[in-house]
Amino acid sequence: MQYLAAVAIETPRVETDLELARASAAGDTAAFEQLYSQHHRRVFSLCLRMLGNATEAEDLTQDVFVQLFRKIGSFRGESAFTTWLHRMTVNQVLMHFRKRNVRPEMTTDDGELPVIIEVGTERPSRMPIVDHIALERAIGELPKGYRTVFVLHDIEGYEHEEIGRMLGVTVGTSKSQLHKARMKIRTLLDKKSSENREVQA
Amino acid sequence: MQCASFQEQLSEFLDGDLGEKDRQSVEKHLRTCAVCSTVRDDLARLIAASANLPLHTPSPVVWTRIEREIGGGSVVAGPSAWWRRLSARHYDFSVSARQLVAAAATVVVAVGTFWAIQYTSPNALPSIGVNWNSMGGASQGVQAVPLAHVTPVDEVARLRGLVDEMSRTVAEAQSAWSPALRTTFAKAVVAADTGIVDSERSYAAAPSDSTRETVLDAYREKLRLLDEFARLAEKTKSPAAK
Repeated sequence: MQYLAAVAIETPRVETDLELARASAAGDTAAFEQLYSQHHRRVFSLCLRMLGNATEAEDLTQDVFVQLFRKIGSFRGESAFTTWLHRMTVNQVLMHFRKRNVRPEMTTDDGELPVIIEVGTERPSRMPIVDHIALERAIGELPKGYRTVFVLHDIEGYEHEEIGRMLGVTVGTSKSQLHKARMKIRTLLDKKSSENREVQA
Repeated sequence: MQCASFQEQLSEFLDGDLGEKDRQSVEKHLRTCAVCSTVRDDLARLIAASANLPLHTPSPVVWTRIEREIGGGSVVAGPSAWWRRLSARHYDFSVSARQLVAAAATVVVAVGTFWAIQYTSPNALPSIGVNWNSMGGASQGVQAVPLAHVTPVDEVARLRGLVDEMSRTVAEAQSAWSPALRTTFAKAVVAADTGIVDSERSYAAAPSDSTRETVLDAYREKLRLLDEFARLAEKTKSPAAK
């Protein structure tokens, strides 16, 4: 029994995403639940970071998976399942922005971001150690357009060409927004740490 | 201002998107400019941290809502569906991993055994090699009774009674469990219950020896599960009692 248990743990029958997708397409909700359990955190995290609101992100995660269940028959396994699903998620978020009349690609909440240029002859203080919580907070403070590009490129790993296609902007715009987003986050993290230093002083 | 134009190129520099000539001129500037070097280092750390952000988990309610919308639970019936559900259980090994592994192993082995027996020799059911006598105090009388010796209805009623009894015992012990263990247990119970419902539906649709055995096995499966968690409860209780 002990031996059997060890074997069962070490050699579980791992169904591939494609197998699970096919079973789901045939109406097997248990297979679909397994797909959900494997992918829901990535999908939710993507929604959460792009939307900046947990309730909306959960609603959108629900929409994504309901849509996934309906469309799963059209997944042929030519691309990786995760690529397919994440593309679907991004589209869903962008559609959500459009419904709310927010154009994430260009318009920002406070117009064009001024990029603060570091100048001076002395060595500036280094940005503090990047902790996850401070970083998430800083991302949340980015204007929506910059946040979208930042999340897609630096967190999700999309290339500028693909981001340009998804958002309907040029590669150059995507690159410049990404740079502004990074510089803004750097400033936000620096500001947070100097505020902390003042509090401690 | 020289630094401004160099800093504007830093993202492309770090992403490897600059042409050779631009890259070299940025590199040259960075060697002599402490300010721009610091900005480059900051951005590099920021990029690395962003690529490694931990994932967030939505509330479990999200799946419930999805399941309701896609009409889950009634689409596919029969053993294949609930075998899948059981094998698809998502155990969280991060907390009290050893206990969870033990519980998960039992479910996997038990279900695997059931699966093998059901599809190889349907009559071999009563001889499943599980030591029922090792069960806790509340489970005396659980024996692998040959099917021929009891009427089907009696056996289902008997197992159902034992399941109820064991459920009460385990429910009492639950308050001492970790949240992770409680979640694992709740998920496993849902899987086992789904197995029972599915098997009863199959039996109602086509009553036969084979579908009746599926029902009995679904109940036995739940008993095994309850027994495993009852034993876990014993183990977790004993250090505190000392």
